[in-house]
Amino acid sequence: MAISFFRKLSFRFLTISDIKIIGKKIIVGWIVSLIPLIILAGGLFLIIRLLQP
Amino acid sequence: MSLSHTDKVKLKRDIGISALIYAIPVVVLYVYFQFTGAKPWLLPVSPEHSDLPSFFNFIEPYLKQIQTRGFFAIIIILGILEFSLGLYEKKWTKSEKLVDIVCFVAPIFLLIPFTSFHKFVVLPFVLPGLENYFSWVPFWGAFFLIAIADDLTQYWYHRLHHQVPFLWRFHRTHHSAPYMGMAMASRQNFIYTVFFSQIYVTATLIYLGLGPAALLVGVLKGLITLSAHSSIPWDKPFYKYKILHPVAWVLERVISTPATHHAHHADTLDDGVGNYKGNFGNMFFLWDVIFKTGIITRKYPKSYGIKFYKQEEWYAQFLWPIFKSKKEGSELSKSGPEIGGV
Repeated sequence: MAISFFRKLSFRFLTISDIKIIGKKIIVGWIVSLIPLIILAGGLFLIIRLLQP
Repeated sequence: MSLSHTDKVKLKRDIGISALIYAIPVVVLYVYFQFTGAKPWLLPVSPEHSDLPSFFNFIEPYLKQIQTRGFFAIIIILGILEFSLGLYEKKWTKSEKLVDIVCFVAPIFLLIPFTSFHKFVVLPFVLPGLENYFSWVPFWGAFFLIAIADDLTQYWYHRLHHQVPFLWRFHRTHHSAPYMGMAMASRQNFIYTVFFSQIYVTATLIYLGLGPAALLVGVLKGLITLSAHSSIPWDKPFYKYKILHPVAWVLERVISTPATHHAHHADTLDDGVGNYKGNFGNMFFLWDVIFKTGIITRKYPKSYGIKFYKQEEWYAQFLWPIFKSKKEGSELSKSGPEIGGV
């Protein structure tokens, strides 16, 4: 029954191409997240370093 | 299909400008501490924020209520109103209803494992001992820092899903409906939603101690983005009455209004109103102004959606490429065409 349900949903095992596209998407997401985090957290660390007595 | 040389050059230039924009709040904070001589980071790290404005303590419980239940209530109440007033006309077919309802309900449960894993496992592992490390950042500094970090990151995530062809299909569901209203606010492919970059940027900054400011930004952003998607044209009086024109001029360049965001959901560029190739801003329209991706016409498009829509099944729209459409020629079908770049 479960199998027929998934067939009805036209579920297919993810192809290599699908996994690649999801992987590339995740990498883009990471880069988009990491750039601001590095600038902001790095900048705040730098404030402490530069203004340390 | 790939990006043209001109697009690549423009993307690189805009990414460089963005790096400078991200740095602005940090530079301002540096100048502030240099000028005042204050060194709050020398105090012991604490989850308590000593400089919270008095009004914040008063509104904090309300902000929490709005962020947890309020937004759901707004979407449901406005959605019902829109439906009752006939906004969706005959376009809200059984298939569209299913897409809208699944996209609204399912992420409430499905997102929790991902965000919890990031909060309780990833952050303590990647940044051990740094919880509340930046709680010394003054409230208003943290407010502008989070507002820029969160919304500019979302602008880029959104823009790339339109301009990079292989990413488009993850965002297509948000544009496929031939109507515009509250239902659009949550209508997304789940893989698009779960990897929303700004969620993780803001969660990390909250972990580092900027939580109170993030709460205020989150509520303001939610109200602006929901109102930009809704069918309430609250911006129209600003265009109608001459005395309000200067306010409108500033408003439509700073935040997303229903007119500018509805234009982003238009199905054509030919009428001079629709701009699905731009107007990417979520809370701030300012990014579109800076990067020249915005068009302001003060008009609403006549029709919405995408021209090559095949009324794909809800499961394909919600979970492509895990589930694929059976519709022939659909972008979401197995080996479907990669139209992209829209």
